[in-house]
Amino acid sequence: MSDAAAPANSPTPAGAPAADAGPRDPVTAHAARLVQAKVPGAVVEVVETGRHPFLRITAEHLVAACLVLRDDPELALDCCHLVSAVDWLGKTPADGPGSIEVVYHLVSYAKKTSAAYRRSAVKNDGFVVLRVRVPRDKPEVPSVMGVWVGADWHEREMWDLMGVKFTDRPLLRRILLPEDWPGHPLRKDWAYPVEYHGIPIIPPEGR
Amino acid sequence: MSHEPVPSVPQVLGVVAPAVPPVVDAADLARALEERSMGQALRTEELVVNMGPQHPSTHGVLRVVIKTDGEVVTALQPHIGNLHRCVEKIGESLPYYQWLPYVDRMDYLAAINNEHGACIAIERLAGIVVPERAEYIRVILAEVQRVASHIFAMGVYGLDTGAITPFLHTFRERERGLDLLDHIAGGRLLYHVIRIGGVKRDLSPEWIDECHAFLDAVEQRLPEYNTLLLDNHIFQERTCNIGVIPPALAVGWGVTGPALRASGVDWDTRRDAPYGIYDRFQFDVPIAHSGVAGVVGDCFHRHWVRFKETEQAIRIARQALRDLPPGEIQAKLPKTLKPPKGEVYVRVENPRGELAYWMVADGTDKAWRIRCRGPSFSNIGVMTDVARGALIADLVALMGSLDIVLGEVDR
Amino acid sequence: MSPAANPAPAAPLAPAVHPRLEFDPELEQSIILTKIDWLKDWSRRNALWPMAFGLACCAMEMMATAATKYDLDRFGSGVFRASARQADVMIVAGTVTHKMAPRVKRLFEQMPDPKYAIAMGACVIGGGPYSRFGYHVVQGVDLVIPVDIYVPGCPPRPEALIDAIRKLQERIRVKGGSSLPADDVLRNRERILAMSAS
Repeated sequence: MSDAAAPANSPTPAGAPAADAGPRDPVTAHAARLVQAKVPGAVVEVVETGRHPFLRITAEHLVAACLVLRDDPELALDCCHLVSAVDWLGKTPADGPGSIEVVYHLVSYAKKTSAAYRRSAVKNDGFVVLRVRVPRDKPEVPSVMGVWVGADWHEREMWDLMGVKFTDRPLLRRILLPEDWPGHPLRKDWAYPVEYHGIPIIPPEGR
Repeated sequence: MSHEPVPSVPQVLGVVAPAVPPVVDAADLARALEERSMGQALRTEELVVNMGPQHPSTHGVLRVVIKTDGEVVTALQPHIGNLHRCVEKIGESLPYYQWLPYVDRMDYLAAINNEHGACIAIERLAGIVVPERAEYIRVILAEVQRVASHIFAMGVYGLDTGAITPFLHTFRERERGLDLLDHIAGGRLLYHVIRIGGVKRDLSPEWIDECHAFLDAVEQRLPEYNTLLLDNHIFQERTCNIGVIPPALAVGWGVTGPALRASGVDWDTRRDAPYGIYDRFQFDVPIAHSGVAGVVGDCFHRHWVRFKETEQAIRIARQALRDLPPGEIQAKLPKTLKPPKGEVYVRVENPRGELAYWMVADGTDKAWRIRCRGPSFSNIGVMTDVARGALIADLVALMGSLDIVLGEVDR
Repeated sequence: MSPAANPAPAAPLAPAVHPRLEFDPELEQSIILTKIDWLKDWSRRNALWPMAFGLACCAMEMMATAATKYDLDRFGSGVFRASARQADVMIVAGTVTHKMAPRVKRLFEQMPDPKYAIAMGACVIGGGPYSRFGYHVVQGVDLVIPVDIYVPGCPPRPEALIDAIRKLQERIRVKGGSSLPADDVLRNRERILAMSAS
C-alpha cells in the first residue's frame, strides 16, 4: 500500500510507453479514423502500437464516440467488456492533485477477428480501448449506460471503489461496499478506517 | 377500507337464513360472488420478498430483493458485495507473485483457469516466454478443472431444481478430478500451481494414467447424469422455456461463456481469440440451436451447453496428454520480477465466462493497478431484465442455470 | 499511526446475546437428573444439524464433506437446514465481510439454544489471507459470534471438518451441551483493537 506521498516512479498518465512501438493495430486505427471523422474534437490522443493500444476521448464527447463505435457495421462493438478506473496521483506533489482515468474495453461478439489478425504480433484480441482522463478532485464522466446496458454495474463499481461520478444516469450508488462505507478504497490516498460499526479494522502497518 | 360486517353466530349457524338466492349454475355463482363483494374490486398488494444472502439456492452470498405479485416476479434487484475481499487493493499492495494466490479465491470453482489468466497477463507485461511443456500442462490442468467445474454445476443445478441424487453422483466423479489436482498441486480446491513463467510441478507417468482414467470415467458417466437430468421430463418442465435470454440482451449485458453460447451467440475465446496454445487443439464449440428441447436461450440450453462442453474439454485434455512434449516446466525468472511500465488486457475462457485482467505496471515489483473482470458479475446483471414475469421457483432455476460464483462477482 | 481521515459510522454492532441457563447445584447431584443430562448431551452431540451457511470457498469443501466421498451424515450431521430456527451448529464456512457481519449475527441469534459455532477456514479464524490488506474482511468471525471450534486450512480438507464435528461432539460429551457466553466476542474485539493500537 502506498503512503500519502506519491511514489517517485508513479507512471505517466500517457499509459503505454513509446519504447514498446511495434506493429500497428488495424482495429484501433479504424476506430480512431471513424471517431475523428464522425465526432470532431473527441479524440485527444491515439496510440496504435504496443500491447495496449487505445484512444483518448474527452469526457463531453464520450457518449457520442461510443454510439459511433457501437453502430459502425464494420466494428460492431456491441459489448462493453469492462469499465475500470485508475488513480494516477501526480508524479510529484508539485503536479497538483493528479488525475483519474476511466478506461473502457469494448469488444465485438458479432465480428470475429481474422486468423491473420490472431496470428499477428498485435496481441489485444480486437479490443478497442477508450480512455477518459478527469481531474482527481472533480472526477465526472458521462454515463454510457444508454449505449451498453452492461456498463451500469461496472460504473457503479467504479463509483464505489474509486469515486468516479458518472452523470446522466439514474441512481448511482454503491454496489460492493455497504452504503455507509467511508471513502473510496481504491484511491491511492485512502486511509483504512479504525473500525466499522464496532468491528475493528486493522491497518496494514498495524500488524 | 371498510370491512363487511362479520356475520353473527345465529346467521352462520343457519338459524336465521340470509337472504341469498340459491346458486344453480356458473352465472348464478358469478352473480352471487359479485353481490357478496359488493362490487368492490379486490385490492392486491405487491409483496417485497428478500431472498438471501443466506439461502440454499443463491449459490453463495447473493441477496435478491424481489417484488412479487402473488408468485409472479414483477421486479428484481440483486445486491452483491457480501463477499468483497479487496483483491484489487491487495494487488496494489503485494508483489505479483505474492498476489497470485488471491486469484484462486475469486472463482473458487475454477481456480486453475483464474491462475492461468493472471499468469498470462503478468507474462505479457514482463515479456516472459513459457516453455512448451508448461503450456501443455497448463492446458491439461485447465481442462481437468473445467470438467470438474461443469459437473459440479450440473449436479448442483439438480439440487436447485429439486433433485438431490445427481448431486451425489457428480460429486463422486468430481472427487477423482480433485484428487488429481490435489496430487499435483497439494490442494483440492485452491491450487497456486500455475506460476509466473510455467507450472510448479511436473506430471508423472502415474498422474497421466490416472488422468486418462478420470477422463474415461467422466465420459462414461455423462449419459448417467443425463438420464437423471437432461433427459428427465421433470427437469425439462422446470427448465425449458424458462429464463430466456435473447442474444442481443446477453451481449449488451456482457454475458459470456456457456450462458452466451446458450443464447445462440457463436463465440468461444479459446477458438476465436486463443491464448496459450489453444489454437493447436481440435474441438467443437457447442452453440444452442432449436430442436433439442425448449427454446434457444432458456435454462435448459445453458445446462445442455455445459454438458456438451464437458465432452469437448475431455477431448482437449486427451489431445494435450497425447502431444505432451518433454522439456522444462518453468522459465528462468529474475529474483524480483519488475515488469517494465506498461499495460495489458487479457481475457481467458473460464467455465463461467470470460475472466479478464487489466494490469498496469509501473516498473516496480508491485502493480499500480489490477482490475479483474469476473464473468459472473455481468451474468447476474442480466437477471434484472430477464426475471420479470417469472415465478419465484423459476427464478431459482434461472440463477442456477447462470452458474454464478460470488467470489468473482464481488472479488 | 494510521491517519483517521474517515469517521467511523455510528451504531456499533453488538455481540450476539444468549443467556445461560443456571441450575441449582443441589439438583445437579441428583442421579436421575445426571442421567437425563447425559441423555440430552448424547442426543445433542450425535445429531448436530448444521445450518447451511456457506459463504465462500470453504462452502465448497463443506458441500464435499456432505457429499459422497466424505459423507458427513454418518456422524449425524448430514441434515443441513436452510432455516436457522432448525439448526444446532452454524458452520461459518467462508470469509465474513463487514457487509455480511450483521447477517451472521442475526442468523446466530435466530438459532435456538443450545447452539454452537464452528469457524471453518483461515478467513474466519483471524482474517486468513485477507488479514493484512483486506479492509472489508472481518478479521475473524469471533468478533461477531462466539466460536466453539476453529478449523484451520484454506480451505480445510473435508477430513478436517469431520474432525471438527467430532471435536465438538467430544466437547459436548465432556463439558456439557451449553453454548459459549456472549462476552467472548467483546474480549476478542479488545484483543484485536490492542493489536491495531500498537
